[in-house]
Amino acid sequence: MTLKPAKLHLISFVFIIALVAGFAYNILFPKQPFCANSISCTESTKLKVENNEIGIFNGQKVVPPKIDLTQKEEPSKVLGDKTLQGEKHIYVDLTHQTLTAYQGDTLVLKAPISSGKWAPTPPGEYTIWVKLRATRMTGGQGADFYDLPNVPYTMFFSGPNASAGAGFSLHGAYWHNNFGHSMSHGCVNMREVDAKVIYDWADPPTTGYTTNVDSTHPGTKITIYGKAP
Amino acid sequence: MVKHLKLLLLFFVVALITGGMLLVKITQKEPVIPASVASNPTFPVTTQAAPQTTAMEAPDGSHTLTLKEEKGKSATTYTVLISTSNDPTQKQIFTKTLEEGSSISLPFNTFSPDDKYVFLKETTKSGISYIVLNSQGTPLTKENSVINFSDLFAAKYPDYKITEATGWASPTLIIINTDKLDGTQGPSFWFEIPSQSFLILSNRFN
Repeated sequence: MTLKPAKLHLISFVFIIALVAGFAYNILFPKQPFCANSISCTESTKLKVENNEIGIFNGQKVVPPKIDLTQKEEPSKVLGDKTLQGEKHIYVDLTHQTLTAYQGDTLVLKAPISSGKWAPTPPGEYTIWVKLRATRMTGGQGADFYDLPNVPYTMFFSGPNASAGAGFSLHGAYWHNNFGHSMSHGCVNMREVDAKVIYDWADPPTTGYTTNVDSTHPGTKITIYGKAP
Repeated sequence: MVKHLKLLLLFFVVALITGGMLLVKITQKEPVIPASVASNPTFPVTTQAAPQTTAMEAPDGSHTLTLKEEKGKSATTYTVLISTSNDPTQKQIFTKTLEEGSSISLPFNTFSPDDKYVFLKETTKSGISYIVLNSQGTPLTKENSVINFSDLFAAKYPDYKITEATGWASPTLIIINTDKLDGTQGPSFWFEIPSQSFLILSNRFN
């Protein structure tokens, strides 16, 4: 059986069109990352406080900080409690592994972070959509398996490059102290003291142990840029 | 003939859509980063003069490590003290006198994640070395109050030299980056404190 030249032309033509369209689609809509926490995934986006659990990171046991939800925590004093004005914006510089937070032109905090080492932190424009006092994050496999209860001061963000379901967040990290160097599975790790400052300052204003954005209380904007070393 | 025209029309439609999509992508703006944000990072290190002190807070805010530097005629005495957020009384955990041209400093990630250990950087004319000690000042082992893991490393891996100890991968693992002796980049290692052993890593921890 032989194909007529016209049919051959049609097949080649459709093939080329599919190829070009696929190429363009990939450029325009780059593949979204899967969940930052591959096992707990969307479960991580819910409040979870487990004070008697032991965590695992880099093959070692780690003791999570105890969190007492019955005790009222004092909010962090940002710049001596001076009333700040202007839009809040968080910048995460992957190249230098730093986070800077501004309100208007005022620098609120500059702190070292740890972005994705085992999986990349996606650059882009985001907004915080929920803040949790603590949650549990589980993922990785083999030697990279981690299971971390009581991840403190977690602020999940979403944007065109990572949907809310992808589970990317800024949060405190008690299991390592290698800030200023990439060390996470995609999230932005901060020292607990720095994460608390950002958590208390960032919008939506904290109203409880879970704070969702709403139409009158949008989340603080986050810009992630650069390339992790 | 009509078939060819249809194909041509289809081609133009697809080309138009593809071109449009590419144009949108190309003209998309990169995030605008203010100049003040884009400058190099500097982190808060509290310093005071005469005698000069440097302080470093633990990541959970529960402890503060202070390095006091007292200059003599030809030598400087370095004293490391620790205090807690509940009790500001400083307790001495380490002291060493070094000749001129040498110094001791506190790395930013000096505290282990559980605040049980701290590590210090010593710079001398012959290079850098690192020591680790219990944050409460108690001896680290039966034989030694502190461990100089640079010396242990040099004895075990003579083909590499430590360029930096960046911080802690977990409560007992210090991350070490190395170079080969010819100056090219070497692998990263973990130094495990309880076993005083090194683990060579397949991934570089930059």
